[in-house]
Formats: sequence, structure tokens, C-alpha cells
Amino acid sequence: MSDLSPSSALPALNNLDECEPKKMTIAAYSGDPRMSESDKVTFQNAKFGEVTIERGNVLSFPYGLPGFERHRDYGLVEVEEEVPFIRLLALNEPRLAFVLVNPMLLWPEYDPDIGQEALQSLGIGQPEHLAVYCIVTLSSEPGQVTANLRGPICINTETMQAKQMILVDERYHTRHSIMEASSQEA
Amino acid sequence: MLVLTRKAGESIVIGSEIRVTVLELQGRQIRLGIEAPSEISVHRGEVYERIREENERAAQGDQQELRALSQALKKGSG
Repeated sequence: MSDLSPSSALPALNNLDECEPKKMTIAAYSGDPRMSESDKVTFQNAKFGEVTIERGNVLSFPYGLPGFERHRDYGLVEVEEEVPFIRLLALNEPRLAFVLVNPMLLWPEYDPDIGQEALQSLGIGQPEHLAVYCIVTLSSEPGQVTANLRGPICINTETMQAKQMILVDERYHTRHSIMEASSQEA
Repeated sequence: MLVLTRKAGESIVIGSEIRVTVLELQGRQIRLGIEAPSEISVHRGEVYERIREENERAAQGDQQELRALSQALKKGSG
């Protein structure tokens, strides 16, 4: 699979060692020097138990997500065996979590039109500070696992503020099959 | 719900920063112009609803195992 940006701009994510599901320690965050103080955040999650991450991996949605407006802060967590998926765990609600994927890995042609106003609303001045992820809807049947390409999550990697954009582009909908994309890419 | 009657060219103001103007009437369709600060999202209602529904579906499957899927993907694109 090709490793295309924009997600490469995202700070190094916490890599959880699943051997110790109850207590996890994460290597020091070595990205932005302003955040290099060992400033950690600990929260509870129904699946992983107590999770500690660097503050630099906390993603804030000032307006929440549609349907989840009251949950604004999430921890970005990467589990090695789950690559390329990333967990988005709500800090204030142990049972609320999402799964993200970098759409460019599966849909290299994906070309969301993130308008200037949308970038402004996130305070993004330069394109390299934008990272785009899509929410995955899981299913016990791999063929039924889909990604929402209509509502990409846009992240300002400098401030770690995020927003779910709603595209006008009719080419994209909320349920693109991941396995189909994967087999086409091969 | 507040109900107001407007003619083409007239507008309503919501708060101090949002203005919705009726631009044109064409049979059963109305064209609206919306002026709002960039941090206020404006969407067609049905598209917003679809995103909200999908977020709710996505949140329900969150605690599932991802390892098998990760493996399947690697095979699929290997």
C-alpha cells in the first residue's frame, strides 16, 4: 500500500502494547517541542481500561461530531496489530469510541474538496497542517466494513483541533466498502 | 417553531451574524442565500442527517476487534 500524505503530517501516535491491556505506558512524544513537556492525559475506556497518552495526541472537536456534540475531546490511539486503523477514544465517555483510517491508503484517488472557509474554521493556514481521516463503521462481516468518505475528519495538526466536514461532492457517500477498495488497489 | 413569511429578496437574521435571504422562488423550490461566520457549518438537512446516522452506527461497533480486519486488508492488498 502506498503511504501518501496528508496523514503523514500527523504527530507520532501512541502505540499501545496490547500485552498489557490494563495499564499502558507510551513512549515520549517527540514532535512539536512546545508539547515536549511530559504532559500526559489519563482516561478510562471500556475496551482498553485505563489509557495514558501524550497531550499532543488529544484531538479536540470544538463542536463535537454530528450526533455527539457534547463529546469534544478524544485520544488518538494506535494499536500495532490494528494498523492502518486508529482508535479515536472519547476522554469523557468510556463507551464512546470511533475507528479512523487514512482514506488515501485505500482510495488513492480520494479528493475531498475542503473549502477555504472550512480550513479557516480550523485555523489552517498551510496545507501541510491539514490531515484527513475517515470514520470506519465496523461489522463482524469484513465485507460490510465501510468508511465514511462524505464526512471526512479534518485535523489541524498544529493545534490538534478537528472538525467533521460534510462534503457537497456526490461522488462520495457514507458507506464505501473497505474490502472492495483494498482488492481494487491490489 | 418560529414561522415567518418572507418574499423573494427579503431575509431573516439569526443572532447578529447569520442572515438567510430568500433569493428566488421557482415552482416548488426556493433558493436561499446564507451568510454565516466560517465556524458555523451550513448543510442541507438530509445530508447532515446521513452523516449523523453514520456516526451513530460507527460508534456502536467501536469496541470490536480490528486485528482480523487489519490482517484481511494486508492480504487483500498484498
